[in-house]
Amino acid sequence: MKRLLNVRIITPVVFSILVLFFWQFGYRYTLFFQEPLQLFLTTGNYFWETLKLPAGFAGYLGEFFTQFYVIPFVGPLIILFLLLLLQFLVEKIFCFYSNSNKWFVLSYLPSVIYCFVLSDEFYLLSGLIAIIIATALSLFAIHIRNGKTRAVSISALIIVAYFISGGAFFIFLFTVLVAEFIGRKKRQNYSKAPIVLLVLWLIISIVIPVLIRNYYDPVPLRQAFVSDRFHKISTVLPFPSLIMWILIPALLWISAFFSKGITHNALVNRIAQLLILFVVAYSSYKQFPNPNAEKVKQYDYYVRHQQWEKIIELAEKDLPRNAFAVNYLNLALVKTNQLGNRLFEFRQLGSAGLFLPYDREHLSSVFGNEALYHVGLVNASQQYMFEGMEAIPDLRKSTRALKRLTDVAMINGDYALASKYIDLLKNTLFYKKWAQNAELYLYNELKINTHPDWGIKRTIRPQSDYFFSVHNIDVILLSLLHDNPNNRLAFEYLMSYYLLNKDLGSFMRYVSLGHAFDYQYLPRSCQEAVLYVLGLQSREAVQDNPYPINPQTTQRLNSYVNIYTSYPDAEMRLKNDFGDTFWYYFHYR
Amino acid sequence: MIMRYIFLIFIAVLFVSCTGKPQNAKPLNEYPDIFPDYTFVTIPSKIAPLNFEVKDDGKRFFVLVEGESSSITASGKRFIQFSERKWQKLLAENNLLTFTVWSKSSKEWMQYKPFDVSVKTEPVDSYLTYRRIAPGYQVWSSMGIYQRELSSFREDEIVSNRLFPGSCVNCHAFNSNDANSMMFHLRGNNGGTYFVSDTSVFKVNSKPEQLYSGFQYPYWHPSGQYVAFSINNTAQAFHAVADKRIEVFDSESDVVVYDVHNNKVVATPLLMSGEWFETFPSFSPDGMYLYFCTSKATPMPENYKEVKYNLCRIAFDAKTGTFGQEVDTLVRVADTNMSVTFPRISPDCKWLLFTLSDYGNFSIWHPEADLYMLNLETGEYCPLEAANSEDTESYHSWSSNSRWVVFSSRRVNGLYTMPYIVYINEHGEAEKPFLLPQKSPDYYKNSFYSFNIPEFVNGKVNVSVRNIENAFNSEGLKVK
Repeated sequence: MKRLLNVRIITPVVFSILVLFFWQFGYRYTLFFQEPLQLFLTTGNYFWETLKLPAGFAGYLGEFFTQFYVIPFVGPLIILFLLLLLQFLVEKIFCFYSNSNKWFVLSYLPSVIYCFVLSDEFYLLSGLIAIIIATALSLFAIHIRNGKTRAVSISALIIVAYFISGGAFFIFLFTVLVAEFIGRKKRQNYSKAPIVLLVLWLIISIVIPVLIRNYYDPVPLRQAFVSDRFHKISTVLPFPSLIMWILIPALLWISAFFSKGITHNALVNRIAQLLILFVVAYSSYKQFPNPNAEKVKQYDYYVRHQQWEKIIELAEKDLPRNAFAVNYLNLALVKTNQLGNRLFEFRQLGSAGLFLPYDREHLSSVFGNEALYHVGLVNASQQYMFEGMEAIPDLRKSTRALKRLTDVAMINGDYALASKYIDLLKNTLFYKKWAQNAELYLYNELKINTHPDWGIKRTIRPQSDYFFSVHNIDVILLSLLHDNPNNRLAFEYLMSYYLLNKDLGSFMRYVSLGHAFDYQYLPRSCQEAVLYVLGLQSREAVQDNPYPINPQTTQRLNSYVNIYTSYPDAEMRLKNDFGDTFWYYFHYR
Repeated sequence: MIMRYIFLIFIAVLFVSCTGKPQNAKPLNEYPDIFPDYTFVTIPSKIAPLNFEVKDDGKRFFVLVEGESSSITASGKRFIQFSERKWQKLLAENNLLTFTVWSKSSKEWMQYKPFDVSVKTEPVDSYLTYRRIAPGYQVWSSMGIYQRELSSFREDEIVSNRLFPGSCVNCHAFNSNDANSMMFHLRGNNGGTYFVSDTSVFKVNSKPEQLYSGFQYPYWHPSGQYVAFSINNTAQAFHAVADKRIEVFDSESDVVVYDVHNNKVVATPLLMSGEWFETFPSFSPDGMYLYFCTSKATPMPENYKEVKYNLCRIAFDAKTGTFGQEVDTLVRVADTNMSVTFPRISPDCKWLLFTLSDYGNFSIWHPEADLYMLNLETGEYCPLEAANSEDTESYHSWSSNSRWVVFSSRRVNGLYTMPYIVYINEHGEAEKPFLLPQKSPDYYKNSFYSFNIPEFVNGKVNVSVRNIENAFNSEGLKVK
């Protein structure tokens, strides 16, 4: 009894700690990332519109819980709660034919799998909720003792299960079928359902989705059976969810036929179950979580919250390697006046590291909008964000996008449009306050002009019209500087663009625009490039240059040149002391 | 006994407070600010209830709608929503409705000045079709072609990209408002031009080998044998400054006619000139002429502001499938210094409604775009003043009886296009248009979609999911 008690206490405690640890310290930014990619409205209309489609109820609950991810630590707690609820229901499934204690450890199997599945951003919380709902309905149905009542209830509940949990209704169907097939052998007073009834249930399960999609909600046949509440991309078959639909009824079957064999050796049995659990957990862990994606989401979180120093700290610990992260790092550098000084301290990816090219697939334009917005290209930012919202794979809208679209509408003075977005955000739980505050600015030019963000953007946004294309970003940055010579971000981005592209002709033509910013010294990379170009002309040109250049940089250039011109293995020798200079980048990258 | 009295008093109070006209209200010398703006509009006798929101700080609202022979009331905390049954009865019995709106602040009731709504007996077609799509740039999420029963709030899907994920459905067109004769394009995998006849569907591969582009903007010949299409090399560019978003332009465009019965393209050099851009074909209701817009060709996008379209027409013989030898110009750029798009002729052949904007052919992105009416007997044209607004008015189409026009407008928020219906009298003059009513007055506020290509249809399109899917999965006819 004592041992039993221990297992019943230790297992959930260990499970809870591991789940919380995994989400809070491993993948919390996935949750922070997911939350604003939906627009959960607290209106009655939204409730009914969501509910009227198959799996709408599960979807509604999924969105409801997902909105709380915005609060630190609440996301992991919600996931833990739902996983424990699923385990509880699965344990009850095991109980149906045998003493649940025998299978207690294994009852965590579906929860363990889905814990890792959810770390793939494409798998929705609504999928887990749908599985829980269908499992709960299954338990309810198989526990009805009266055969006739059960038959009628199951016939109706198949339809209900389909409509509220989508494809998870297969859990219900398979579970009741398993119960009916083996029920009379294993449970006393469990009356026999005629075969014809089982066939009828199968027919209902096939016909209902087909009828609904033919006459009510036209979707592809496969989607009609699966629904779009498990995976964000409706054309993708959510394989892990499918496994769950079969696994849970299979566990009922297993408990019915294998309970007897394990009664005599409980310890071995538990170790075997633990082993299964461990193997499944390990394979799921290898399959679903993506640490690289998590890192990008961490950058994204810091950018959204304008925690620029944290981005730089993160990059200093682990050099960013993909375009999204490099783009965000450069944004953080430019926002903290460090881009020109530290550009070559980090691995660069050319102009894409400064401004992401437009990509209509998935969410890259959501990331790309940030640099455009901060440099003052608000219309381009609006384009990227609008497109990003339209590219959200589950065809839903986004609070994050609406906030940015509101920003741009306010800056542009499109108040009717801003008002539309504000009204929508006012119907959310966590963006209501922001929207109410934004509403105070509507139609108030003076107030907007003094807003710490919108006011500044109004002064640096383009004044003269042209067609935006990220491929001509240098010309566009020049135009921004022409419209507002004090746009420091535009200047540093422009210089960085030239340096990364090794376009020294253009760099020298426009570096003098930096005089507008009262630099004591030009940004270090610019000093290095200026000295390099002048050094190629003559020693006098270096000495008599009119640019604000730190004498130390000149000394460093001399040291660099000495090594560069004296050693055949100069690249290796220069790497340590000069790897972060423009000269090294120019010669060796 | 006491409890019974209390109960009766409670019921009486409840009844009075819910249905009785507010007493001792303070009169206001202004009309109520309502959304949609239904003040002094003209509506057909079979239209869904004009539900609206009163935009003041009132805590409760009461509305009395009085006609010559009957009246109805409605009340609410935010929205005014009428009973559909009572509303239809009211419209059937009255030609002029007077709306009186009361608003209750925390202290007292206030009564706004009453406004009238004129009810015309000339019917409007029973359905309105439109495409719903986000007014984006190059990406779309949900989109589809839908049909709305005008006398109720019922909306049904005809085809959407939920059924064909990732695809784009566009340019739906009907032959003379006939619900049984429809076509639309579906772009993407298994794309093509889909023709719907009654309940059957067939697909045409709408990029003939001899043409540089697939079929684009369509218009049916009234015989049903032909559909005129523009073929366009279209591109987009994105403005950097605040007041404009997108420029859509053609670097090439021509007009051809597709012979549906013989599956072949009929063309004339007069409509396929390399020196001119031809687009937006439109047959006259008698089928004798093909109207179109044409501009001098110029390198694009460099000269995008220089592209301005004339309105022209050419004779067409449906029996032989041949064109006339001359092109007439009805509206000249030389006169307007503006650009004509979307010529649409009233079914009684008296009027031609078109859009006029500063330049180009994608008028939906031009805030200055307005509707203009051309008298086909006199050749004179003038702005359709009552229908136009400060913002964009663009696509439009006529009802079967030439008395109603539906058009798209961005007047509410400058971005999301909404369908307005306007009455046109026998002199070609418009009365104040009304926004397509929705059951919930905040429908448009919560919507993320524009209503594209609103078209009146004389009945419900009955096409099954299976038939569309079969056509989708078929090879499709190769156009000769």
